[in-house]
Order: sequence, then C-alpha cells, then structure tokens
Amino acid sequence: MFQLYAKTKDNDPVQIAILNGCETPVAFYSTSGLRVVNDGRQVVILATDWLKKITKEFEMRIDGLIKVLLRTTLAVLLIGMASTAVQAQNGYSPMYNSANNVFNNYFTQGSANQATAAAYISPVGVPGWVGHTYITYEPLYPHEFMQHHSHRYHSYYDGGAGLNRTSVHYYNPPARTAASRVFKMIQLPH
Amino acid sequence: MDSGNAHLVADRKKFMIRFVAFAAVAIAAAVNCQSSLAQSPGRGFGILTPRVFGERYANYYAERTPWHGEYYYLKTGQPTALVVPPNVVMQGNYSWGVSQNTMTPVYHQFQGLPPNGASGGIFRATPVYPSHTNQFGIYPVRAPW
Repeated sequence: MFQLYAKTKDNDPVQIAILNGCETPVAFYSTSGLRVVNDGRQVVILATDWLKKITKEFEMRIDGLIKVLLRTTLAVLLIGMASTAVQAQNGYSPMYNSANNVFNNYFTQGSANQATAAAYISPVGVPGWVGHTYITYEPLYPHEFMQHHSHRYHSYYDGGAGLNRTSVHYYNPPARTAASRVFKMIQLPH
Repeated sequence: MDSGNAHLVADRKKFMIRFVAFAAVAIAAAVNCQSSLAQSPGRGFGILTPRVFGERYANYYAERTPWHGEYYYLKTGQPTALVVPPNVVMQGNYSWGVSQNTMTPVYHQFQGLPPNGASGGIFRATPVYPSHTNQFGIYPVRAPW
C-alpha cells in the first residue's frame, strides 16, 4: 500500500489517490511535463517548471470555478500517468506488455476461490512430466480467436532501442464464411 | 473606459471556461479511447455505458465469489474451467424439474496476474444420477481481453 501525492505550485503535497502496493524500490519516470518518483512506499509526482508556469498563467487569469475544473483535469491526468507507471513497474499489466516473458499465462483471480485454474494448457492441465506448450507469439494465443475484435501488440527489441507494433484484426471474412456455409450444406455427410 | 475593460474580461472568462471544458472532454475521450484499445470496457475513465457498468459489476462479483461450484470434474479431480469468450455475460443451467432451467451471470475472467494461491478446496463427485449441469464440475471462465 502506498500513497500518491501531487505537489501543487505552493509546494504543499495534496493526497490524490491511494493505490495498491508496489514493492520494487526506486524508479524514475520522466513524462511530458511531469516527473514521477517512486521510492517504494510512495509515488511523488512533481510538476516541472513548464507545467508550473502554465498553471500559474492559467490561475492568474481565471476565477475559482475554472480553477476547480483545471485542478480536476490535472488530477485525472496525474492519476492516469501514475497508474500507468506503476503497472509498468510491477511487471504485469492488463495488456501483454511484459516483453521479457516467453509465454504469459492467465489465472483465475478472486479472494473467494478454493481452486486456481490456469488458462493454458487448455482445456485441462497435464502432469509435469508431460511437458508444456509455449505460445511465443501473442497474436496466436488461442483465446484471441474466440470473438471478433482488434488488438495491438507491442514488443521492444535491441534492449529497448526499437519498438515493434503489430495490429491484428480477428474476424470472419464474409465471402469465405458464406462459401464455407454453402459447401457444408451440399457436402456428403461423413 | 472601465466598462470596455470589463467587457474584455468577461469575454476572456467565457473563452477560458469553454477552453477548459473542451480540454476536460478531450482528455476524457482520449482515456476512453485507450481503454477501448485495451479491449476491456471496464477499465479507464470512460463514460458509464451499460457495457462498462456490466464489466465493473462482473469484476466486483468476481472478486467476491468463487469461479467454481462445489463439484469436481471426474477427469481432473478438480473443478475445471471452461474458457469462454470474454464478451460472454450469461450461462444457461439445465436441471430436472419444472422451472429449474436458469440463466446466471459469468463473472470470472482470466487475468494476466500471478495466481493468488487459492487451493485446497474440498469438492464433491458428480452424483450417480446428476440433476443439474453444475454437478459436472465444469464452470465457465471468460478469456482475457
């Protein structure tokens, strides 16, 4: 458990959110206009001079209502960026961005469970001596073929120097699907 | 002189209000767009559409209810997950008796998180004369987004 602080231009920290834990010490992220410092127990977001200047200019010109709006907007931005940083730091995230893993498995979650199921190997697990199937190319995960959707995959190479992006659309091609249906209607039973 | 200045200030104020409101909407839209790229409707600061609400509702109950019933699957000795598409919301249950066929929500979804160590449950065998589809020990869990 750690707390998330945002420092205002008056330099007094304002607590804006409490998020679930992160145990890895020390990380430093520099994103546009914001610095996120994580010492393992708390994440401190420091506005850089650029952001402070902008904020100051705004606040000079506008009245209280707009101040509230502006601060809300900033808070939303800060929380979003911080949660992204924390997910990246924890090594897992909702997306498949843990690029160092050969194969990411999926498990059932929830505090009321009395058994845990892994998504792979599907449909049922096998004893250890049987071996394991690794699906090393994320777009070919079998569960991706279960519904029509689009997905984007990212992987870094050359130690983070390059980023490879893959966009995949999962769908039934209409002409081929129709032809297949017709063929199934007239084919001999087997 | 003063009245002219006040007019300018009022104009500027109106402009600023519109500008900030527009910025807030644009940021909300951007975040919403990100969540739709991640395919999960329940994530992000999106607008609370029925789909988003349903996903959050499912996540809430997935945290508080088990994904399995009280029976094990004969072939594995454990309750076994049937992977269903992530956009599935309901399952049909069949049973003996009048008005015993029900539809119940599928809350649980596989997550790309480490397993939380849930184990050690004591489960029952399928009865010799099964009377309900949940007695076969196979329970649906939605695939990850």
